Amino acid sequence: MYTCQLNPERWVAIHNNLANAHRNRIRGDHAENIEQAVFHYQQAIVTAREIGDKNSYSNISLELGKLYIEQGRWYDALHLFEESLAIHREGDDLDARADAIYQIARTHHLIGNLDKARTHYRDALRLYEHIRNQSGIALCRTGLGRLMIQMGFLDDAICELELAKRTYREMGEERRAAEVEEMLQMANHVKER
Amino acid sequence: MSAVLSQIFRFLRLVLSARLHYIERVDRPLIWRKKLPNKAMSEADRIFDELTNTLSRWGLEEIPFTESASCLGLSKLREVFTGRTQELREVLTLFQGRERKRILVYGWAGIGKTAFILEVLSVLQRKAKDTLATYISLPPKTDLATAALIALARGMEDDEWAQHQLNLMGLRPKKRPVQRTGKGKADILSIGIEAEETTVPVTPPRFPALSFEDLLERALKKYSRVVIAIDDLDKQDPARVRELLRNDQGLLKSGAWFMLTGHPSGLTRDILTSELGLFDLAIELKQLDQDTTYRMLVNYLNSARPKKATRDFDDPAAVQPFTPETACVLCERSDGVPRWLNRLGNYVLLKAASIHADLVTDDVLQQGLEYAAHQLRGQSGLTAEDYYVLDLVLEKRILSDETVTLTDLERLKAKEFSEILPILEKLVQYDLLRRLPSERAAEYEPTPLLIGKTEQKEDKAD
Repeated sequence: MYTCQLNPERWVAIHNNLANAHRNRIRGDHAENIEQAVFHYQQAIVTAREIGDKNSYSNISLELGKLYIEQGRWYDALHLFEESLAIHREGDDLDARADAIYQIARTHHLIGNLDKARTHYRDALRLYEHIRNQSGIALCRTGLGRLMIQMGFLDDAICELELAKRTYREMGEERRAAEVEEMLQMANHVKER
Repeated sequence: MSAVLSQIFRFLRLVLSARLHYIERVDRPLIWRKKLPNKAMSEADRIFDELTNTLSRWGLEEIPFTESASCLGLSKLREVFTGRTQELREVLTLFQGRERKRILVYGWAGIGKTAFILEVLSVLQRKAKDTLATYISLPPKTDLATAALIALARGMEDDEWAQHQLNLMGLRPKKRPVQRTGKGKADILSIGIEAEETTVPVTPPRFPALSFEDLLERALKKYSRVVIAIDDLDKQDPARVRELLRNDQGLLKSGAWFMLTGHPSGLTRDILTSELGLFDLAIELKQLDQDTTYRMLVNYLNSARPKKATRDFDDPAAVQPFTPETACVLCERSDGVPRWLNRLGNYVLLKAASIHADLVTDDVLQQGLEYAAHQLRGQSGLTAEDYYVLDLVLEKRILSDETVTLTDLERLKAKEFSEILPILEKLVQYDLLRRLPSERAAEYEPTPLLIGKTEQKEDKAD
């Protein structure tokens, strides 16, 4: 039998797995599944912090933050993402670092801190470009495109969205490319008007 | 007998003379110092007198420039406040109405937001009936409700409860409230009461918004209008300010008028686009034009002249010790930013005084500008990290979150623009950088205060 005291590392891993399972569960009530996932992530994160497992702590923070976003707890999410980023800054995992920055950008975007969102999207984009993470590049460009539409810079928005669409096509992500195409059409439509 | 009397008189005369000498030296040291011959003057005395004489030759009693409007008294502020006619008209028109408003004043660092707010409050205090106008610079780590509570309590000097609130927060009230405890004292002949005074322990308000509401209610019984100006929000992290505004929306919609200062771009735009309704009026303070800057310079210089020696704007001697030409260059270099005019004016006059210049000629001005650039770069509080960032901006001319490269950032031991943002903002507060009013990117460039004459000429030639 595993207990938190005897096997804290396993405790963290098990709660993390349970959280992932609840998060990805298709059956049942979605909100309840999310609540269960949040509960298990919280259990895992507390223990990870206690045993000083920074890697697990930062990864779980990122996942828990994403769920908080779904629940509308934006400031709690932002706090977790920033904690996660602070840990990743100490290491050299640029992928994880870029992911944390992207999540911060997305959260600022949701809150309405457009200025901060723009700077963080660009920060994440620079890192994704450096490590040639195509999916990350496309995500950041899509975020920037949406942001620029909101700010009224339609030419910039169209430019970013075109690049995002091309990247998704290169990756074979047609569904994503179609979503971006919809946004592009909207931006062009607004521009014409 | 006469010999004895003579001895006594002689003794008394000696004592009296010694006493007079003592009075001259110790009780009235200033008079004593003035009587000293020049030879006995110390080096410091001589330097002090020289500087006073230089200022006196310029027709000034002191160097009038200050870096912040809050350092000036209200009467001095009235003397030096220049321009902003349109903006004042817009704000003061609102104050003719009965309905309370929330006003946001925003613009670059040093553009004169504080001076503008203080000028409005000063007019209200003097001219608006039954108006309580209060001001506070938002302290770090303080929410808006607490700041508003402090400002209001400070404004209600005669209200015991308001002063009690200040005391509870560990702030010095105008009238120190005390807890009085009665003590019975029985005596055979009389029965007396002894009062014992104890200081109230510091306990910050648990519900500052509610405490503010209570205090506002008390204030509105006495005044028909309460105006609370909360300054320096733009000196805090934009995301935090947004959170503060979001949390204290109820407070801002209470029965008081509010005047707040905002960031020059970014946050202000974000708030105004996504939360319309939070402010009734948003006023952007832009750079002053050259003529207004020149008038401001004259006003500053006049504020340091003896009352009878003040000059009109048209008088070329109004800018003395500057010549009209060097005054124009100074105004041009200040770029219409009042704080830059103050900083540059201050450094140029300090330099001119140190070289005993009778006039600020072209040559003296250049020396002054170089001195200013040197002094600005050497301000205390700047770290090696700050200098690295400053050098990068100086090298690139404009540093933005859009064009900065990973190589640039790695030179600063960073990988994200967000990591150096706090440093860039610090350099803005130190007047070394300015943030360009672009909405598409966070762009920073060196202020004209840092650029030498030759470089600026090259710029113009380009």
